[in-house]
Amino acid sequence: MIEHKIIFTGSVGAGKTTAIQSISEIPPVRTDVLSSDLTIGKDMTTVGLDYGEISLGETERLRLYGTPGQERFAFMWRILAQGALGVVILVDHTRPDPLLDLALYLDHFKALIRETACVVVISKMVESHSPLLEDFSEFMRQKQMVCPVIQADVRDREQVLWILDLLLVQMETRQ
Amino acid sequence: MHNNDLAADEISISYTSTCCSQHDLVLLRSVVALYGTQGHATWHFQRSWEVDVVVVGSEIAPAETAALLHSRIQSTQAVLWISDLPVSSDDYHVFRCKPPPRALHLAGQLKQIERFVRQLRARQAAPRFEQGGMPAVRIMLTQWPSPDFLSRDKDFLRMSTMLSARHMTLDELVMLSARPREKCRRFLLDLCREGYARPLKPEEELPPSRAQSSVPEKNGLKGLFGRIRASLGLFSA
Repeated sequence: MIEHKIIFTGSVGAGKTTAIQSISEIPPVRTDVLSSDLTIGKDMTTVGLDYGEISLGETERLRLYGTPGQERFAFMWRILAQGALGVVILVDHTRPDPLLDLALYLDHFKALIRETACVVVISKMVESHSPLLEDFSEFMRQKQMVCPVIQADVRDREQVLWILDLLLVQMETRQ
Repeated sequence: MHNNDLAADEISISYTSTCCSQHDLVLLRSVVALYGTQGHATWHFQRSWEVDVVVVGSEIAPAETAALLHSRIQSTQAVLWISDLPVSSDDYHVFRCKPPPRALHLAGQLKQIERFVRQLRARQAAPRFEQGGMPAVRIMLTQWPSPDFLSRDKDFLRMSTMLSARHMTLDELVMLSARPREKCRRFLLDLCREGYARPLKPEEELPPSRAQSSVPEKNGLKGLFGRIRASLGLFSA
């Protein structure tokens, strides 16, 4: 079996599990448990990883991995990132400091972003609230990183497909 | 993702101040110093009017306003106006800050001014770029464009995504995007004029081995991307 993978990472509650669920051909393998962290703002959170897959033929499949959001699981991010085709970074706009959240994932996935493809997705976006989309892209410029920065609702399968389309455009352009 | 050395993208902004109170000056200098440590442009104070930004403080008298604007400030300069006095922004690029200035608001205005200066410099560089009929230089995306920019044309999102993955000449963009040459030319020019991209300098060109992805199995990837698209029902536009 030939296998490839795409990583979904980002802040707790940003929608990594939901995004994978939207497009996976199999019922996603989830490792949600009751959250003991009151700051997370949801009852269940991913402590291991989420897994979904898309069949590309009889002998080939695309694995979709969702990383646990909390930084204490960063050792898993590195393991999951190895050999990935690209990464989708989801940032929950309603969290106290979304730019700080973004910085964390840009830093940890720096090598993968530099070598492959990346889309930054701002979820639960309140358009009138700061930071604006431009603030995110300006923040990335300061970190000398340029990739698509979009807002999307990952509960909508079409929007998740749109995210993957942008990821694929980058991969194809690099060839 | 071309996150290689963007040192040429770092900018320095010169500023001077007039009619500032002690409070204005202390706060301004402090915020400017702090701002420079956060990855933004570096600001340098100059005792001259030949600067990018003129800071007008809260001690300006109504009678001085017109004289200052007409005799000292040029139309290309940004003005940070820390005063309640009215000022027309028709002829000048005025960034207002209500006195007494608050650090957070002041930092926000510095960020806006930096964006303005970047765009101004990019516009000043763009005509040279245009006169050559879009020479065969590669264009480098330095910042993901604003939603306003992307909404001007339905193809701009995809073209920006391509340019985020690879520095390209006009010809390369035309070939990869399969969009009309004139649309691609306008897209690149507008990106450069508005400070989202700039022509790559010859010394910044990467050798071929570093210019492309190091993802293994490169030859088979094109077919792989096609199979992923087919499985997801995504078709190249």
